Amino acid sequence: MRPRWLWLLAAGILVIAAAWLIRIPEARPPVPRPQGEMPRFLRPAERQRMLSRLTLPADAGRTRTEVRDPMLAALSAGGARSGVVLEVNALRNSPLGELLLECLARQQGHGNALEALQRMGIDPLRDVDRVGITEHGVVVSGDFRRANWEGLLGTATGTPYGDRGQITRVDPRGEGGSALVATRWGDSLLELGDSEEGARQTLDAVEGRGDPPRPLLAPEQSYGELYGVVSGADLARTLGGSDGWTSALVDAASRVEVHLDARRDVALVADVSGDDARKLEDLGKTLGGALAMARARARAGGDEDTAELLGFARVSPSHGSSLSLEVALPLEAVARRLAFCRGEGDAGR
Amino acid sequence: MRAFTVAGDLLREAAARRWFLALGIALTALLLLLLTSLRLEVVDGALAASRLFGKPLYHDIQAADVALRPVFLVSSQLVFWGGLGFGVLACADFAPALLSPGRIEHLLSLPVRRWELLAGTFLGVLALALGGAVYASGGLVAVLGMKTGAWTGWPVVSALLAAVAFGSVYAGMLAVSVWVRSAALSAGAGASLVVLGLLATHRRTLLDLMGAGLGRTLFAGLTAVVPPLGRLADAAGALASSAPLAPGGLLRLLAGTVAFAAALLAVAAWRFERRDF
Repeated sequence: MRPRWLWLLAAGILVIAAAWLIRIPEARPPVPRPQGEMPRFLRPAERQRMLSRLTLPADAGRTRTEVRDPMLAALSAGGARSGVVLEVNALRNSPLGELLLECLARQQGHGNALEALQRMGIDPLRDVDRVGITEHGVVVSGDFRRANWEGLLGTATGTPYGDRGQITRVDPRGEGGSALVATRWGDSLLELGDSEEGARQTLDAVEGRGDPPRPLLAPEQSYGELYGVVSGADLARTLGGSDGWTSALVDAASRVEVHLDARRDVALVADVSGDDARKLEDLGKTLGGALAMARARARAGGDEDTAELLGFARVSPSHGSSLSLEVALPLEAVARRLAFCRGEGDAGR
Repeated sequence: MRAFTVAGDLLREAAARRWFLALGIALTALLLLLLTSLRLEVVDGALAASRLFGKPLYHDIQAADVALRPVFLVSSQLVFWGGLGFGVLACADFAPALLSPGRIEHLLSLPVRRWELLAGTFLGVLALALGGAVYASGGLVAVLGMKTGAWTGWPVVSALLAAVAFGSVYAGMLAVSVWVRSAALSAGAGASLVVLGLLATHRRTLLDLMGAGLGRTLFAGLTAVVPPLGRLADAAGALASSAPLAPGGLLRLLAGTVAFAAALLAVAAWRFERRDF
């Protein structure tokens, strides 16, 4: 008599065979799922980096206890509402940075800005630590001891301000250009703004004079290779256009905090907060729906790459006054997208 | 061999049922209606004129077989989905009737193995499905062939696909009946398999719309093994209307559908062998 378990064994084998036979063959290997976790907090290395950047402002006649990150203090000066920081040094040493450098290397010999800066004694790939951008200007931190300030700003020294500050007014180099105000703080911080008042506010904030400005970003928020805070209005302006999406974004989102991790694959977290929970919930659902529609449309149009990449994006439902958008891109997919500037044969595919 | 005897018994039982009698009468009536009332003189006339004048009289006419492709496409879909729906309803109580008290004891006292009883029931229902599908599609081909002179065997081949698809659904119904002797549950299982088969057809699109989690994993697992009935229906339609079709893909799909049905039958046999009556 035949053992009964043979029927189950046969069923198992047949189910596997059925699954193998009816599966839709993949035209190409699927995009690998991004590795790593979303940037949500300071990792140990980032905590070390953050702590090493904190300084104690030296204010004559007063005992100061608060510590600050000069770059973040400079970004907060003048009541900036939006600011984004790019960790140039960390990004340069990441796989994504390697890809971007390959792109830049392809441009060598065409008189690019990198070469010009290198001639002035600043190697952006070696001397620049961070670049921060706000609506008031650009702040660059790093090691500028070898910088040729005369070549860069037109004069080796500026008007002294505070303990270590110097303010230099740079006249426009072209017709119709506006004057630029360069603020140096020692040999480690350079701000390019548009007013001397703003320059003084920056130096006051960095050196801890007067009332501290409302912080744009706390040191605990300095995780990822790119991070920042953007107001809804600035985000809408950056994205451009005046369509329904833009106005909906401005209505629902008062602030978007962004963190991008590029240590291996690229992971982006955007935490959107707003005053109106209902509108924020609608925005989250709309974004989720738009992602799903885009995926379906890409799939229907045969653009499997885009469909799979969109599959790595998701919108977490809003909890009270915030919602979260997470986007992950496998490094291989980024490399394929950057193929056009790296001069590979399959560019654009 | 004894399984075929059981299948023959089932066919005799089906012949005595009003459902199948009604289906046979309805199909015959429909074919007779088509035969006597279809006005295909336009096609006939165009062909005759071409023969008479040695060249096409009108340049916007189509060959009869090309003009009839949409008809064959629609009829193949009617046979496929209509056959599935009718089969699920009409065949739901064959297995519960087989397992009914009194009858099953009698059957088990005969020199028939248990798995042969199941196989015979399955083969009988499959023969019914094949007969119905081939009768409907073959009749349509015959009617249109007589009217237009355009003969094609592909609609009949497409009807065979419909029968194979129903076989995979009925295997699930049979397996459920062996567990719970209920015609309603058997029909419910069949309907669920049809719905799952439809979902499996659009598996990738639906998976794209789902967030990661247990639900998505369950859906992915279920639809990975259930035959995508929509793809089978599309293939049946393409065959019937002489549309291009990748033969390798169709063979794989058919083999997968047969393997799925066999797996469900094996599960049913395992349960049937263990069960006390």
